[in-house]
Amino acid sequence: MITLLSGIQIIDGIASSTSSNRLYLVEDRIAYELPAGRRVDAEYSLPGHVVFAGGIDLHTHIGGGKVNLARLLMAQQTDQRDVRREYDTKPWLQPLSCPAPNTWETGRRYVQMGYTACFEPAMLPAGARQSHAEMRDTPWLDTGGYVLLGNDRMLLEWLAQGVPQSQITDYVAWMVAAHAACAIKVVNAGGIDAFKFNERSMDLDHPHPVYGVTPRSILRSLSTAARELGLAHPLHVHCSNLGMAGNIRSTLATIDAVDEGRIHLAHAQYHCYGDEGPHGFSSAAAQLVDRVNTSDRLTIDVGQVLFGQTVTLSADTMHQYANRQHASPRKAIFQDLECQAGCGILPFRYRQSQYVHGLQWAIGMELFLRIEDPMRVFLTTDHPNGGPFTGYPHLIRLLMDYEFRMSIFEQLHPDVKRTSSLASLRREYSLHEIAKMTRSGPAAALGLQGRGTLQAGGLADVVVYRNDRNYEAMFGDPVMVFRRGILVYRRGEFLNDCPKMTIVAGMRDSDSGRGWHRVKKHRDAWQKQYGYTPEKLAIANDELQGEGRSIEENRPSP
Amino acid sequence: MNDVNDNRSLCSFCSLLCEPLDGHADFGETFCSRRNRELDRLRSAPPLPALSVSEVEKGFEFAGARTRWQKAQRRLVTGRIRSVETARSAVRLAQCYGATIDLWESEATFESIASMQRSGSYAVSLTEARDLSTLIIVIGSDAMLEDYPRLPIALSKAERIPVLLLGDWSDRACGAWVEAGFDVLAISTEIEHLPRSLAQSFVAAQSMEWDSRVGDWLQRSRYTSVVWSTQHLGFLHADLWIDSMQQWIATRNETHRCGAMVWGGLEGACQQVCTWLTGFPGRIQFRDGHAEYDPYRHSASRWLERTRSLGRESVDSIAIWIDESSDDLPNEVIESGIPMIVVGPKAPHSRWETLHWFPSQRSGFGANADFFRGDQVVQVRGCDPQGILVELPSVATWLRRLTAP
Repeated sequence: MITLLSGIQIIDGIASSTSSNRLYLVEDRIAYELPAGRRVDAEYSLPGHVVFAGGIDLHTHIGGGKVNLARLLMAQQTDQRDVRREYDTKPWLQPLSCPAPNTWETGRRYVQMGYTACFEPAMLPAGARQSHAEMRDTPWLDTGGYVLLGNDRMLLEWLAQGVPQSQITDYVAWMVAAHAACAIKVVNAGGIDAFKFNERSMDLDHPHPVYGVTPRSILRSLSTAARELGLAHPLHVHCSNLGMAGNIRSTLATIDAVDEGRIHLAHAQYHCYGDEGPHGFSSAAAQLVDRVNTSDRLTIDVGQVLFGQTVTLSADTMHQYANRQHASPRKAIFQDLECQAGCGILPFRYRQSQYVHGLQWAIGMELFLRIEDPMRVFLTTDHPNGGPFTGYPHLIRLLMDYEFRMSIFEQLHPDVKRTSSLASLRREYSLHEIAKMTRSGPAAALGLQGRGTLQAGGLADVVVYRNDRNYEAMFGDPVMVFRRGILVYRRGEFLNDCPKMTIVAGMRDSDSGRGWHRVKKHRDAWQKQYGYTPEKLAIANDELQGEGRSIEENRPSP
Repeated sequence: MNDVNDNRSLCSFCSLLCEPLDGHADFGETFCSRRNRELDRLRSAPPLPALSVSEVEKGFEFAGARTRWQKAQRRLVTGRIRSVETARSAVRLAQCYGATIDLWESEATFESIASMQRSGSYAVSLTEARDLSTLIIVIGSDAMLEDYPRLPIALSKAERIPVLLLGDWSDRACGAWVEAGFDVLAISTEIEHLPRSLAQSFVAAQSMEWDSRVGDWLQRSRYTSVVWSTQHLGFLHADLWIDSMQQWIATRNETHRCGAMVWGGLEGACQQVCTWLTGFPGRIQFRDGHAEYDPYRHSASRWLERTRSLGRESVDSIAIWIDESSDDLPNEVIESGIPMIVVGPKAPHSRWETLHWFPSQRSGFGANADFFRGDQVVQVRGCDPQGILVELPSVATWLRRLTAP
């Protein structure tokens, strides 16, 4: 099958100078020339339209135990006040049924924005099978997950014993491979476990109350393991002190703590707060921006706050518990899980009139606008924590349209307007920059091959948008979406199913890690810790295949 | 990528990760009492012949049953669904045909859900409770151990920690906890009044009605796990009791650490799958592809009641009974006389004119199936190496064939 898209403007984050207005989809690949001896099967003449690669969301909570609990907690909580009559003509644009929607709605709504690959950033090892099962049932999307380490008691105990780094690295290799992950996530290193021992806060050099190890030593060891294994994506870190005034100090210290400074900071907006100003809560975005702008080993996703009802969910039980009085409606779920991590789930409503919420919104904007290279700052709301992912078109418009941005800013708490420098940031993102932060940047950060770009030979995950000055309308309503060369979506209608990939980590030489579970002392340690053998929860290849699914390895870093 | 296929197994009779013990050829010595009991029941059932899908379709009039299903005006999907694959197929079938879906006897599940949706919860998983607890409070009675005989062993680690058994426990049941290595104190008490009694003991460190050790244990415990099984509580409106218990746990977490381990059976898979596929845990009526959630109106038993009340018009209704257990069809279902398709490994004892039965393999026997552990935290693949193997289509196969146009 060959499809020709003609009359188009090509927007690519890598080859930004492409002058061609024709693009061929040859089977599942992109080409700029018609292969010899072949003819075009379908042609779409699309003047006035722009073409992007499929969007990639590298941090969105779409599958796993805590997501399912959030669905349960928020069932029947949809706020119909936001539903407007205009959706009668385009029902696919109406608000989600729930801030943590079911798998079917998740897949559908991502494709209806032009996204084709999404990554669950916090798979509890013991819950990885469920995470993958939910992602399997999320239609049209390629998916992957990051395995949650750094609060697993086996690791803490070994670090306390001072075992050799090679033993840690082998263990990490096993945990990544056995749980079919494509990266490592650390959430509040050591802090989730410390909370189980009634510790209510934990800074970077604060020793664990039982094991004595510090978050710094945990981060150091895991980042070294990630480097030694050649994982494409660096350690994906949710820092200590989530959401706390003054947390910028520990955030910057975290960057310094990791091996060779190679790190991805998750939902960075929640981690760059100062403690100055009239409310003891201020923006420290500029300090983090300085670090990002001067280090090519540091990437972030923002975790932008969007106003309205959502549900926050995190493995960081310590800080979710500390925020329980802010839950709206007033209810919350907390779990201490499997000697590996925990979870906290709180319904939450971000309000424009509230000082802290308004400042969080402005800090997210500052990060986007001050960081120079959009290949290293990625567009996320940490779905659903900052707001549901369906807010992305609105967020893109905020970045591309200064006047629109200011129209929101003007509605914020007076002290936010008085203290924030946002009004002075007149930058407006270009379409190419949007392509970088939503396509080629995340693809590069995750080591995905042939994705996030429209270069010849790339994967034919292609999105066609009508070129419109109202960027929210444009990015919220693509004209066509192709998955692997198959037209799956056209003007509100789904036409075809498509094959799906589960993306897992390609690793350099990790033979000793893959056989980790067969070493008697490791088996015994695992059995003692968990009460069952290590194979119990390990995921076999056949579980990720079938029903049109297959496995793809990302590229190990050199 | 992964080389982990060896030695994976799960007891598909209960909701614990029971690993078969090595070196025991005889089931009686290898497995727990529940497993032995249920294996005996399976063995006593008439043996099923090995049949292919086409042989069953021909011999059991599949086409007629499917036509009846497709033409019905009102449809119910219910039964005892235990595995993830079957639950997925059941939800798809219900969605495809605008049916109501609800597990049979899901009252306890929905009481727990009602409490959680109203006010949240503080929970701890099995492995965490085993590793971290300095005090375990178990609320219930012997019935809990009859259903989950290995629960004390699963919660036991090397250290001897106190277990407070509250409710109605026999000496034999207490003995099981002692044998598992716990320091046991059993207090016979009315479960319904427990939240208040626990609060008093914690505040006063000593209660007029309870052993002074209770207050002492509560004061000293760094991490307390409170274990109950909602289906074994045995009184109406358990959701309100759960609210009160969770309030006690929440208060305790202000100064100490504490979590509830609410233990259920294998039915957790259906609730989980329903939730991720539809956003709701069950008790759904699909209309035009959309799920309408009503935990009161859309229960299976109310559907049967309403259908029976239709009298002669009930012939336009049909139910699918999906069974992955070793139990018989409930009397309530049999007495309804409603046209029914039964999919499961066991032939219904009663027959009526509009009953169709499609024999299937028991999930987790011979073929892989995924189950949820009783705390619903861990999804595990089960393939029973010593099950009773019969070459028959799986339950999910039948549901998919019914879904196909």
